[in-house]
Amino acid sequence: MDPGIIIFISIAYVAFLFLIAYLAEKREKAGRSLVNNPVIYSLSLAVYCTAWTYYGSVGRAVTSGLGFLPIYIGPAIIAPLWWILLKKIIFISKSQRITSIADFISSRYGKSIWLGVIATLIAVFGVIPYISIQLKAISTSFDLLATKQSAIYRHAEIPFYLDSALYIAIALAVFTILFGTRNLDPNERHEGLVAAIAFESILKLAAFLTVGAFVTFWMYDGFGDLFQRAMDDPGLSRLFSLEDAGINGWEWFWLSFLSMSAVMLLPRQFHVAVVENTNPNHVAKASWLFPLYLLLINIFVLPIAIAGLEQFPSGAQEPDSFVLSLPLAYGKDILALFVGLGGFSAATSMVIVAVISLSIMIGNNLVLPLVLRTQAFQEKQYGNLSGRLLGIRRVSIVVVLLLAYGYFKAVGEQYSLVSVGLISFTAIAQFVPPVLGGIYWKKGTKKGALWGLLAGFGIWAYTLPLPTMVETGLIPIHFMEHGPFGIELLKPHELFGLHGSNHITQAAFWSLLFNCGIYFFVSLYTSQSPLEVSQADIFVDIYKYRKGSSDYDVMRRQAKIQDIRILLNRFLGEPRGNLLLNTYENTQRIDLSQHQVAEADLVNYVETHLAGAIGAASAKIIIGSITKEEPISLEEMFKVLEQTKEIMQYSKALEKKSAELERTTKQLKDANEQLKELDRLKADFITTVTHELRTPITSIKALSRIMKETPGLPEEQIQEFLSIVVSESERLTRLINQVLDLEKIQSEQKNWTLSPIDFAEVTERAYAGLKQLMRDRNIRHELKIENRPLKIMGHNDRLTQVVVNLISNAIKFCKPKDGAINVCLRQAGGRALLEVQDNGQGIPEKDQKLIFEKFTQLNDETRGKPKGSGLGLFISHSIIQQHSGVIYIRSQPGNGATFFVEIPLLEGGQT
Amino acid sequence: MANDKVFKLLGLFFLAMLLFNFPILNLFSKGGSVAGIPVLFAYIFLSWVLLILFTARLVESKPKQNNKPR
Repeated sequence: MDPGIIIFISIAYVAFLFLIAYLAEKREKAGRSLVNNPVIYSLSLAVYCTAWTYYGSVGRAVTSGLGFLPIYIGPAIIAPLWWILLKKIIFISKSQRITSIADFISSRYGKSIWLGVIATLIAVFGVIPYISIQLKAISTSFDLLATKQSAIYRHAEIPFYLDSALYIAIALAVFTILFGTRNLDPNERHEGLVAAIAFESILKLAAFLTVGAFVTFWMYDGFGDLFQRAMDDPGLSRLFSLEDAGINGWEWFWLSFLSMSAVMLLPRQFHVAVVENTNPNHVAKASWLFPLYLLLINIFVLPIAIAGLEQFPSGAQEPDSFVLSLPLAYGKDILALFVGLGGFSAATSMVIVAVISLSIMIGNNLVLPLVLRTQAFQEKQYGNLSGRLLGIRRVSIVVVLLLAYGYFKAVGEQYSLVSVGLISFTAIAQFVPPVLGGIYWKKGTKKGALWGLLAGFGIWAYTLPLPTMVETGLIPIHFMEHGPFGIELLKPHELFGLHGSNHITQAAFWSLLFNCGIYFFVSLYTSQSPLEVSQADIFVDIYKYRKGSSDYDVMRRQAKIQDIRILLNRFLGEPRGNLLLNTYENTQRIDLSQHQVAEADLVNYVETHLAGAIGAASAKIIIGSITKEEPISLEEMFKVLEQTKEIMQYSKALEKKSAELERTTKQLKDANEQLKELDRLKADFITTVTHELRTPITSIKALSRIMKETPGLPEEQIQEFLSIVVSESERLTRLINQVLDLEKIQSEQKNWTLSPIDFAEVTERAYAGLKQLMRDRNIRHELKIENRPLKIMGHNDRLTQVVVNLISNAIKFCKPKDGAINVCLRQAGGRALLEVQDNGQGIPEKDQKLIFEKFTQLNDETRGKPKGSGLGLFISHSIIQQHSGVIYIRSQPGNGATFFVEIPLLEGGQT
Repeated sequence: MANDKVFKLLGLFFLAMLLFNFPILNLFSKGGSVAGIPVLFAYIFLSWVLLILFTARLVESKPKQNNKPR
């Protein structure tokens, strides 16, 4: 294929990426962010999949079968913890305006400059080999597409000015500069970049799935066919067993561990996952979408490797480029071009993000702290620093890419993509102890982190990159074979005599062992500065701070407002500086022009925002240059922390007390309400009783007086009056008896002793007592007892009273002529059920509830004068309640009424 | 409770650690095939799918549902 076409397509592709970035930024400005959603966030995390994944996995699978997988399974294993770990790191970073992994470590340990420098160096040197393999992948795929054969020449042997890889590196540098350093964002967020990365993630996945499907379903008849052939071939079947492929558990574990740390701590991963994060809740979706992405991009790796081994048995093609050479071998040039573009996108996305994040680190944590210490800055002779900052970044981008090119040219070519990539992973894993310790262990000190990192980095450099230099001739070969000065124990690949394990595994083991150990023990034996104490507190207890309690006043600093203005204008440019101060004025409601001196609060505010632009350590120095610091002593610092703790405990105790008080008050209020209600009831009761008493007395009095004062009243009249007097007195007696009864029942309630009795007997007795009366009134009556005995726990006399009361009521209210009463007793479920039915007027529904209350007499025209005291049913109701039973009525006006009494049967009541 | 979720996620992490490491992994590394797919390949990808499903279920669960005692 014509190289011109390939170059043209690549450039067109890059231009398209710029278009995406431009559109995304435009939408961001319009307030409709494209990037602020969890799917884009997950896709941007997929910058994890680089040329290593795209080309290198197949190469690795050719030699070690599924041994390529731990790199992707590691992230899938750690993903469930993102919701805990990554979210916490994001919260911390957003509150501290952290812009890179080096900044994170430096900030945690008292904004230490030295830690920032060391972490930056580790990141830069660690990632350079990684970037170099992207260059290698791009140039190899370019060669392959252009000439259809790999390895036509070795890059190391041609002069650099003829080397395509150099021009690729330069193009990438230009591209990255255009992408990442157009302006200085105080939060280091680049929505355009994220959108472009997300697009690249989609493209590389699509391309890889396409070539995978081509191999599996076009070249072969699906997975089954492909695997069957491989299993039949003794040379290939080893790929399906880890042991045969030379992978042991120890190596597998370390590879997955390294990838777990890499997926969160690699500078570019930290950049997309933390710095570019728009909403911490996106982590939730990403923690399963991202592993899903990894699964998809890996599912065809083994099939492609097998197909490659079958197609090119002689080793005519580099396994790292099977992905490309397979479609090419079948003459599918367009497909190959698409696949090449996918690989190009995998490599470019990694390079852009990695280099941008490295350039931020180099600028903020390496160069700036050094520049700021120079005399020139102290004397304030610099002009606009914000332009200078961008300049520093641009230079560092170029330097990093040239270093990567240099590494590629010197050593990268002899090694496979994966083995070089793993060198980088091991370097980045050195960040695990200071980061993990930093967010969960307050006692971790700056010195511990510093010495731990140095030791880990030293061992890494000695055991991994150093040996790769041997072939370049920089290191003599006997150094590798017999160790330095002939000390066998120090052989880089068998450090301390550790035989038999892969060199990555042993390097990871020793470097992390020393790193962790030193971090831990030095931390235990050194103390923290006040600033470290407060930073440690913020990092570990970030959720406490997020709940509104403000930052501690660590530094009681003052500065001239004029100085602050100058500083902000220099570093952020005038418009942004003014905006920042205006925001402060608005939120704090003060007018800065009225003040000369800025208080600690404003100074801290400015420092956090500056830290966003230039890193925590640099911001600390700059602010230091204009403030009069009165750093708090360690004791004071502890006192502040202690006090805060005490205050919090105290306020918690207060809250508890006040809750208790509230509860008590409520109880008192309720009790008071109850008393009031009782009082009201009593008053009601007395009013009603006296009223009820007065009615018969009035009529007795009136009739007696008539009889006394009217001599010569006809005998019949007298007889009639007397009978009324008698019946009224009877009513009076009944009323008084019932009131007494009621009192008795209510006062006795507690002392009732219920004993087992037969409800049937009780009913029979009560019924028998009233039989004569019913006969006298010509009422048809019937008693039906279906089951007997019906043993219940009850009070004989009281129950009799109830039954008598109900039957008397029925007698009173049944039809005056042709009356009928049915009493029926039976067992219903675990209960005795008594029914007393009459055929009177019935009771309207609205009154059915009322009749069981005190002094309810249904009084209407058709019924005439009430015949009762109004207490009978209330008393019955009270008694039945005492028996844990219920009493209720069913009635339809005009059709009589039926009263029901239900009382629970005694356990085994039938016996 | 949020705490509940944290422990469930931790549990899932340790389970994944166990399933995707030796010696469990070695149990499936003896060769042979299921339905034409090599056992190890099938085991890893199937467990991977399950891990993704469980993670999704856990992280997407709303706090309210977690409050209910089960």
